Amino acid sequence: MENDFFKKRENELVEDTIVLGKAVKSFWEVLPIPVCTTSPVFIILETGKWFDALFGYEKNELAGESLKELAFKKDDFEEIIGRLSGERKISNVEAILRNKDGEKVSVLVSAIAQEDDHGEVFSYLFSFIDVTLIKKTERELQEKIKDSVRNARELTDSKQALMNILEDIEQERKKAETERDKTLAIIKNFADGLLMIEGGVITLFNPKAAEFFKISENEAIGRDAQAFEKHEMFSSLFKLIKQKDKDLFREEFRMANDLILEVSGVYIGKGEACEARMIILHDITREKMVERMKTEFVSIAAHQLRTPLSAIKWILSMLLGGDVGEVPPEQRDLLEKSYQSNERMIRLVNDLLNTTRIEEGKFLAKITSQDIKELVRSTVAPFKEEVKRKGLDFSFQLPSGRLPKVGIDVEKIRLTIQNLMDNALHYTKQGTIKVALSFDKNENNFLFSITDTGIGISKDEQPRVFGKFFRAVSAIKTETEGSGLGLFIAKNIIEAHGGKIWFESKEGIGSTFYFTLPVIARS
Amino acid sequence: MPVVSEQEIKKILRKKGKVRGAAFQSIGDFILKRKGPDGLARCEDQIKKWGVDFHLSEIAPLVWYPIAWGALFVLAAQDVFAWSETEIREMGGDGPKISAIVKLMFKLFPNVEQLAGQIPGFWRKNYTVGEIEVASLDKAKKVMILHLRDCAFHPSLCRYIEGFAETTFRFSRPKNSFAQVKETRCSFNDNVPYEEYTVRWE
Repeated sequence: MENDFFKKRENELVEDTIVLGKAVKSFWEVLPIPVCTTSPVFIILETGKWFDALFGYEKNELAGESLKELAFKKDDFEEIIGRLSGERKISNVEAILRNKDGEKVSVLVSAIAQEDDHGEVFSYLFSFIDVTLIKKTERELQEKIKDSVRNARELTDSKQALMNILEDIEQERKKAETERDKTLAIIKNFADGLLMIEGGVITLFNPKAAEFFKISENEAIGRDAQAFEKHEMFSSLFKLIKQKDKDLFREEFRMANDLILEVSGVYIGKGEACEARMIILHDITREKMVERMKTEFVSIAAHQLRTPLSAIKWILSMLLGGDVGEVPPEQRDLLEKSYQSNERMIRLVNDLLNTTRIEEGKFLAKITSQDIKELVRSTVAPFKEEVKRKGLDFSFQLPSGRLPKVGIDVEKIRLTIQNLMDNALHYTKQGTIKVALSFDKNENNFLFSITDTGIGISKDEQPRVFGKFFRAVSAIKTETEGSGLGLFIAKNIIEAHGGKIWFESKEGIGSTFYFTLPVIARS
Repeated sequence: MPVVSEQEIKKILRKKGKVRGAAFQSIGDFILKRKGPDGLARCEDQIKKWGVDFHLSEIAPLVWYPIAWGALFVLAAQDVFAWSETEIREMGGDGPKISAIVKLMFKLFPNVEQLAGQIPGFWRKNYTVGEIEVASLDKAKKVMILHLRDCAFHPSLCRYIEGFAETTFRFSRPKNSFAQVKETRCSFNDNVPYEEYTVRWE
């Protein structure tokens, strides 16, 4: 009977245990958390379905393996083991494990030790929460935060840089304003008239310009320049400005009988979108008046001198010619020297008179159609003897065939050729003088040239060669006489004929002077 | 040549004693893993030929079944698949990994003395015949001698128990540390009334 009781109790216990076992098994199957149990030395004994799935293993595949082997880094599990050994439980400790493919799995580990009645651990129960996705999102967020912080920092830096730039700009603006004020002060008080035309509109018109044109600044500034073309004072000036399309020009302009201006113009930003032209009006009335008075004085003085000089020449000629009796040799010598000196004076007076006529614009008296070849031949002929007498070689080239006639003032062209021949002869001690005339059909002009092997002209003196009263230092040393007006007169003669005159020279080697004469029929 | 003779089968079937159904599940899982459902079916057929209508699917882990069935299950696998003692030992070694019995009823301690204390009780919870005693324990030499008495069915089963015991012992040792169980005396060969298993560890 007692046996039946124990047997019955045993059967009931077995049934309860079976039910419990099924319940435990079901619990392992359905528990949605990855769990496993390990031995006290962390050998995996049993794994739940979700544990196997998390780490990619088959059922029971991990039984007998060490849980530490799942750690991504060996040291990662040491902390967990240390704490479990001491505290017997841990909760949500971060760890990185690896699955069967070796990929990282971030988890929160919780574990509890299972103890017997004596408090000895005989197994551990582990649970894991997969936070891989959370960690990944966290990392991405952290990256985004870092980027945002970096961007914010960059924005702050950019802002600071912009502020610095603004400060610099403000400083520059103030400097520019100061400069502008200075410039305005200069412009307003400038002794010359200043006029700026930008895009056809007058944008600058200083008080001096207003004085010249007899209108106020306000009436001019901002106005269309073309609107002023009908204005009496402006029309001629604007015509002149329009004609001069060069980047830089300088011209005399008579505003009124008592007002002569030197008008200078310069383009600012030519060809660009914002093209502007600056016109400077310099009052040269007084200079012109002084110049005119000087010219008049020279003219009067020369005219006054001419008569007595002509009389002296006549007297000396008579004396030397023996018209009033035989002249002793000692006296003849003195008379000849006086005659030469008188001739030089006459030449000087003539040069001065020519110069004044040039300045008065009255130089070219009579233009006739001439055979230039014959003119050159007859003008050069007298010089051949003098060239031979000095022991110089002479070369003379003239063009062949029929040549067109040229409209010229014969006297003046002869004078030009004579001046150039005189210079070549006086300043060449040895060597050659070559004279050539040629005709250029394409340009329809004649080219005259005279080349010598004389003293030449130094480079720094060359720009002044055609100036009034200029004589090179070497020329003065060689030939003390000379008015310094010959080339000035020659230049004016040639330019008055519409030609050009120029030279090439090397000091100590020689010079070549050229001039052209266009074939223009004048009468 | 069959692994076990008809006479041996009859002798096994006459043996008294029971074992928890969990033991069959360990053996069955191994066969399924290695040979699949067809392999299992062939084993069951072999057991049926030996006079036992055995179906693994009907076995409950905590219910007691004739211990002879467990022996026949192992022998049927050995016979059907021509497995050597090595495979049988592996089958035993797999047992603890799968067995709920080990996990539920056997407390594993890293302390060898405590572990040794568990072994006899574990046998009693799972078998109604035989007993295991810890004949000796030398902590210095790291050697433990176990004697299994009154549970000799077939020499192949000694291999099974050897493998089972070694894996169980390894569960309590750190991974990759040395732990070995070997049968050092056998009642079938050595004229002793027990199967002696020597456990060594580092």
